[in-house]
Amino acid sequence: MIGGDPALRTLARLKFRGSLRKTRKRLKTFSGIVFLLLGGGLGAFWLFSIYMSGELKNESDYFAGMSIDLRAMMQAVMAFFTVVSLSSAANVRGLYLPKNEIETLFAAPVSRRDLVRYRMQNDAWRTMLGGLIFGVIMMRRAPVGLHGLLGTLLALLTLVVVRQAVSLLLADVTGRFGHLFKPRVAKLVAIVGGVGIWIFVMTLVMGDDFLVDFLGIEKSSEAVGAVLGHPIVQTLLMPFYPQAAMITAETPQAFLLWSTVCLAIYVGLFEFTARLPIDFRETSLETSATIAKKLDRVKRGGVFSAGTVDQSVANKRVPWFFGRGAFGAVAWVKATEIMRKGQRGLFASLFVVGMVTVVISMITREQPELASALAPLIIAVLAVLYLSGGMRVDFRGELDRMEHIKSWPLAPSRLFTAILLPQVVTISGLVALAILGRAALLDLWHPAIAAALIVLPFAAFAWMAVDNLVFLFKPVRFVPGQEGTLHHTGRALVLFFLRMVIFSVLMAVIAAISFVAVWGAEELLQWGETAKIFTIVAVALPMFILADWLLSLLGGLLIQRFDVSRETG
Amino acid sequence: METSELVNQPPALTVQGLSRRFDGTLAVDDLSFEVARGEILGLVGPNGAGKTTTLRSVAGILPLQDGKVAIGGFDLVADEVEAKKGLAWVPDNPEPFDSLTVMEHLEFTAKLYRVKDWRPRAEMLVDRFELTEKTTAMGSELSRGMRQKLAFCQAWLPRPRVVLMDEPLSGLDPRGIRSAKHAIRELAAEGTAVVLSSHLLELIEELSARLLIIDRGKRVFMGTLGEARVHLSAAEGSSLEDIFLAATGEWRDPTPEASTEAGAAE
Repeated sequence: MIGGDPALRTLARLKFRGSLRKTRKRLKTFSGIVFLLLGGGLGAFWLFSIYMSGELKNESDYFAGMSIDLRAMMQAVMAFFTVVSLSSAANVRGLYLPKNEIETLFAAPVSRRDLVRYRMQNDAWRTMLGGLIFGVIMMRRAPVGLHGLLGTLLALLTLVVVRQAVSLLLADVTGRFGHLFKPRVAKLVAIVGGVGIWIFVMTLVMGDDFLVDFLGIEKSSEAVGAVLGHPIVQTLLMPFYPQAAMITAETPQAFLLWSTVCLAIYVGLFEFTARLPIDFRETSLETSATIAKKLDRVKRGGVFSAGTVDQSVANKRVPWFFGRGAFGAVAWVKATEIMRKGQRGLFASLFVVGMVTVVISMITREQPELASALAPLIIAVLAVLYLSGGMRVDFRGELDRMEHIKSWPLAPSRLFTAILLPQVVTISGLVALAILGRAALLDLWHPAIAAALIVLPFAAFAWMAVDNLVFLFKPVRFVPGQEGTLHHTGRALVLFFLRMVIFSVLMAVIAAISFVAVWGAEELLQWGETAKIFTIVAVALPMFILADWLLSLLGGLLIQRFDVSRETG
Repeated sequence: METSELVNQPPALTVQGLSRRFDGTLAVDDLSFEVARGEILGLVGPNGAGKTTTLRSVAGILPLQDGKVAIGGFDLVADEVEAKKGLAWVPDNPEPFDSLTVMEHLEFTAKLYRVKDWRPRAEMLVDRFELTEKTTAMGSELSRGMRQKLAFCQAWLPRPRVVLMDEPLSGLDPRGIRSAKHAIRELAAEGTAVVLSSHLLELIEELSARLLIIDRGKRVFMGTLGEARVHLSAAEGSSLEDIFLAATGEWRDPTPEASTEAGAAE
């Protein structure tokens, strides 16, 4: 029954003990303790801020002001989450087991039912942790906080079981009828769903301000209320009634009643899913291998590298943009990586830059001076920061190749530059496009735009060089969902601050010298604004070039001292 | 029990008419063979011949599409769990659980195969495969060779009826290879049927009483080395490599000298 095979329970217990052991091991060093405290603190602060956002806005009766039945609203929310969750089931057909477990467990003398139970039990623990965020959000919005929290957790657990059932059914359908479900359709649903969840969470966290300020929707509650009140919609949402009634229960008796019903549904669905007469082995092996490869790509090149390169794209020749020598060859390999992943990665990057541009433009729309002069700079800074984190066609992707790379016949500093250059050029190009596009669309031209575009590639190189210097100094890669999340979050925080401090000091020195030079010249010549801006550029640009050169030398030194035998997990 | 006595008993593993398709491509084509208790069967074939697919199908990792597999008399489809209780699988690249120690892997294996009082045997195996100093090391900390040794310990622990091994010696040092060879022989002597797939033909020649050669999923030959020499018209004293090459297609020396010599001979 629901407990499953004793050996698999032993495995779960041993794995849990193992993760505690790993945590203890990490805590044996001072840095380990600091990283864990920082990561834990950040997580706790995040949950606390979500909890307090409702308190500060006095929104404990958030839905009370709306002309929507709270229970109907919750039914709609649960239905939405179910659709989004089920769309992800298309990418995880069968029973997902990690690559290093799947063969052992499939060859083991345990029934397939028990394997499904084992997986769903594991998922339940993960969901309890992840669901805490939604639980805390609902805690502030439900009539009784505790009911909102516990109800949301149970509802999410049920969702996990439903998703597993659908994954198994899809495995069966795939096995019988081939790939009927186009991955693109599933991706489209996932994107739309993702945007929907983002809007939903932002609305819950920020309140109606989000709808009014960012989406321009006012009086939305009346329209939503009308839709939810429609008999067809009400009928469609009926399956979610018990969960909505549990979350929004106003009395302990009502909560007890509905939570018992929901628990019975959960147990029933759990056993139904475990007993589905489906041989999922073949599809699961495929899914496990696909996900393992995807995680590996994400680990090497960030989220934009998760997809595969189509053969049609791979057949197209990429020009040698950076010369035909050894330097050009290294840069060409990285440029090829960008161009071939460009089908997905560049589109996503363009989308992100576009979003940054729109948000900055909306924030600065009331202040014309800020919008024309400062907004391009803010866009450039934010977009470069975000894209360099997401696109990562840099040393992170080369970590497994460092042994080989170190043997290449190219001076280390030139090697460092060659690996970073294609990414710098691409990101600078995308950001320049966004800044010019915005200026053309809003007719907001300012000399600061030209100044920003001139300095942009050199500043971008400086940032990416600092970023990679810190990485080469402490080469650790992490995939979300990997063990030791808090520890890695803490370390990422420290390393991010380290990068920011180094880069800020560099920027501060360049800015100070530039402004002193301009101030001195202004005293003598009484220049106008445009002349001042270009004087800053004229002073700053050589300093950026000098800084980039020095950073390349430093990068070369770090490549030389890079120990290929170090732990990089 | 003598090896000859064991071989005369009913087969520990029976495979009948096994076929396997991947997207319309036939990877294994109507393969049948038996392995007796205490026998070591060498499974050889060129890359892509279907060796790993055969072993993974027999291990129950891949579902059976066509054919029958019985382990110790238990049908792999009808009595899947019972059949698997008598089977151990050693993959070509064992991947232990990251956060479990060596001893915890054996604890889990003992629970999985219902081995009572497992610790003394586990300690003996850990000592046998030179993992004594690594009992508290986690899976993620083990080298390739150590992972291989751990996989042996896990396979040996429940005294299975059948052990399937896919390239079992890759990653082992010479000392480890010698130790593994002894252990495989001893396991067979205790009555376990072993199917050994390897590209190391000397290993097969040294350990296996019989060999099964497959090419493009089809059985090309099955029998003893002596029978192979007769069947494949190989000269007396010819090596398994010669027999293998004769069975799976004629081999040509690609060097220009060889072709010149061949031309002169003609």
